[in-house]
Amino acid sequence: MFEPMSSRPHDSRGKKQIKRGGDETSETSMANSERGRTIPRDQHLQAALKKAENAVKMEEIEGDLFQEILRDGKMFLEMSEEEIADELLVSHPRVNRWFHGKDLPRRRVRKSIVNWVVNQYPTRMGT
Amino acid sequence: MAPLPKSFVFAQVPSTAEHTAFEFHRTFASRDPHIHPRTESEMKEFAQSGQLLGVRRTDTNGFVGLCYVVHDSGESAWQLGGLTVTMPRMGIGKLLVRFALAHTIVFGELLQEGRWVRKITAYVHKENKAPRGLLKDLRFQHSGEIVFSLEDAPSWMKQNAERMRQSAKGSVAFEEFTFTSDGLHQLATWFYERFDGTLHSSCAEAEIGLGPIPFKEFKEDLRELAATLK
Repeated sequence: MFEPMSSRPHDSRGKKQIKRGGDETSETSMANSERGRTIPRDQHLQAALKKAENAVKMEEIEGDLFQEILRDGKMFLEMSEEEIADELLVSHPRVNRWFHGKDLPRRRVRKSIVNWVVNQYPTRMGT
Repeated sequence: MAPLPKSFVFAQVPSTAEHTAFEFHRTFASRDPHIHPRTESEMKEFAQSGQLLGVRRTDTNGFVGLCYVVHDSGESAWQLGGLTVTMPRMGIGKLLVRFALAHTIVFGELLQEGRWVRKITAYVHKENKAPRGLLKDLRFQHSGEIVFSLEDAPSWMKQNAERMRQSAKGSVAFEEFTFTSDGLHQLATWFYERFDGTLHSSCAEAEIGLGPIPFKEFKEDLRELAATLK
């Protein structure tokens, strides 16, 4: 689901302080573990954001990538499928179908949704 | 006389507004025998599955129009119905149906590889003349006449069997109209080239509410879909 992070040096000193909705506490939780190595959530978040930003520049966002970006968004933006559906003004069952790869929005709508995800990162994280 | 609203929003009805939408529908259905009355649970289901489209005036946020495009699991086609508008002759109903069709086609799974996998049909009560002109304008084609006995009626109709029994003496006749490929081409062209964000008859603003999805991209997708039709 996530891009391999092994090429990036693991530097805990580079951790970014992330504010959530005005909360001043720093985010230090570890999001994932690959091949026995723990990847800081913040690095993961940055990779997810980069992935989404790159996708917006693509001519066409393939279904798998769209699904990954949605899932990353759900996790890092801490939103439920229902909340995402409400924000996008589409129904929950439809969003659920997108999440599970049973359906895919049209090409341009897909890009608009990814663009929305990109814009949500700084908004939701308060950075 | 109260001034006409200056702007309207056309959008999918969110599940949070399902009760208001049902009340709006019920008021109409109780007055007009041609409108098939839907139950509150049906309307709730339509709203939750994104199949209910509405128009609200922006000054009061009150509904002025409603329709649905629903897919009954027992049926092969999507069904357009329940069109109700409180402010006639402003073009609200026509734009609402256009939007409902476009929304269903862009977000639904009606076309695959340039072919219809599910059609959109409308059942019109045989005695109801009102929507025929609209359906014809939007290039629905008459595709049959159906007389349902109450016993053989589809599930969505059976739920209101008692009312039908009283009004239709055991059976009810509908005419079926099917949305055509020609209609889709026309719809896409109309949104792309002619819709300027206003209701022409009143010059009131007509916003298409799609959340963060720009209308420009939505209509491009519609046009692309129409272009794939074989």
